[in-house]
Amino acid sequence: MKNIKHFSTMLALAVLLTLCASVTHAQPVKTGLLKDDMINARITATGDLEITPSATSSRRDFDYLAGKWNMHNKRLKSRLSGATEWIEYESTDENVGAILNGIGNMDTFRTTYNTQGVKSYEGITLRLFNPQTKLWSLYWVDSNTGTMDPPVVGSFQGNVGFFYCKDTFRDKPILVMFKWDKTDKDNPVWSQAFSPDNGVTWEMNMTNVSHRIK
Amino acid sequence: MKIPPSFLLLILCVLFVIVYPHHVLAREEANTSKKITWQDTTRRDSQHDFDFEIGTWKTHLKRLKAPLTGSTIWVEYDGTSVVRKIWNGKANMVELEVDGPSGHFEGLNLRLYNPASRQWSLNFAGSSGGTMSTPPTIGEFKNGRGEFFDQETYNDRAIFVRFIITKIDARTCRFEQAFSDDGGKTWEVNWIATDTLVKD
Repeated sequence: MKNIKHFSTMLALAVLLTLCASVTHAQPVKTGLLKDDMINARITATGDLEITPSATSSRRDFDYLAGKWNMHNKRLKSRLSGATEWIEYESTDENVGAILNGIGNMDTFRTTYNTQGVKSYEGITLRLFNPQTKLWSLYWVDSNTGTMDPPVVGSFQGNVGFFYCKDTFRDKPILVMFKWDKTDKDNPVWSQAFSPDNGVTWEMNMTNVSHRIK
Repeated sequence: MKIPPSFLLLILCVLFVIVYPHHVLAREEANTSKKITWQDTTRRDSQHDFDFEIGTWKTHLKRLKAPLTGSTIWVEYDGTSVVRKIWNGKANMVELEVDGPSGHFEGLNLRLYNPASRQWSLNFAGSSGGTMSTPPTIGEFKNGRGEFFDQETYNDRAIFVRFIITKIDARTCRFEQAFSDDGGKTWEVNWIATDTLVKD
């Protein structure tokens, strides 16, 4: 009887510790539509998305991604609906380094979390640098569909890269933004945001921090 | 002691309840790896159709210099193709690197399996462009021959593009691209590559 009591005390303690750990681990993420200026991109008078490269944009800008990564992901439960609840999951990523004569790189993403309910979920990102326009195109491929999305396009301004494209969400036009913050090259931060009003306000709906596996 | 039949039935029911969900679960587990409920089941699951190409190949490439101009000048290149497996075969990436009298040429091709349509898309990018050339060619393998098509614009004209991959033997395969500017009645071949396997 004493053993059982002891065991349940230990169990309760373990549960409490785990809870504490997850609370301290969870950092607050801003939710909702926030004003954010577009960087090196604008909507023209005719409604086109015009993207210009930063002065320093280079084919080497994604070199930091080469290698293997553990990632912690947060995904807003629903998009452009005022949701404040985030789903968190882990993933891994492997980037093969420079390809295509040094103007591209590719990585594969893997997680057990899948919105489609199938067991595992994988992605490919192919990034290509256009030497003429000095713009990067980032293509995402989803293993659920096996098709390539239209790219987000942009460049790095200092340590932060901004990449945009037009898309639709629930049949309404939106702008999509990817942001890559490589200030900490071993722990870079990626995020995705949607804008329902042509780039005036943005709702971040996905973000992750990559931790380099050394 | 005689066991009443109603009691036996009860035990059977309880056993059924205990055992049955596990069967269902087990089947669902098995199905998730190759979920086919929404797919056209009359078509073959072809997610491993490019497995034969994973590896390093020696490439000889012949390219028509100016397609759809009546020109018959071909340029030749030699080099390598490295085919990398992605997603356990459901995708792969070819890196082509060749040299010839008319210069250095690099290209990549990302092949992607669409589990719903059971077709493959071949997405190409050349090292000079820095963007994917769109749209991809789409198709499938039948009896060792893959045929992939798209419709695109070439020199301001709408054309059809056909890409054929033929497995000649375990160590040799052939790639052929052709354009048609008469809606597919006639085709002009403008790209022939022959790959010989160096290592798996």
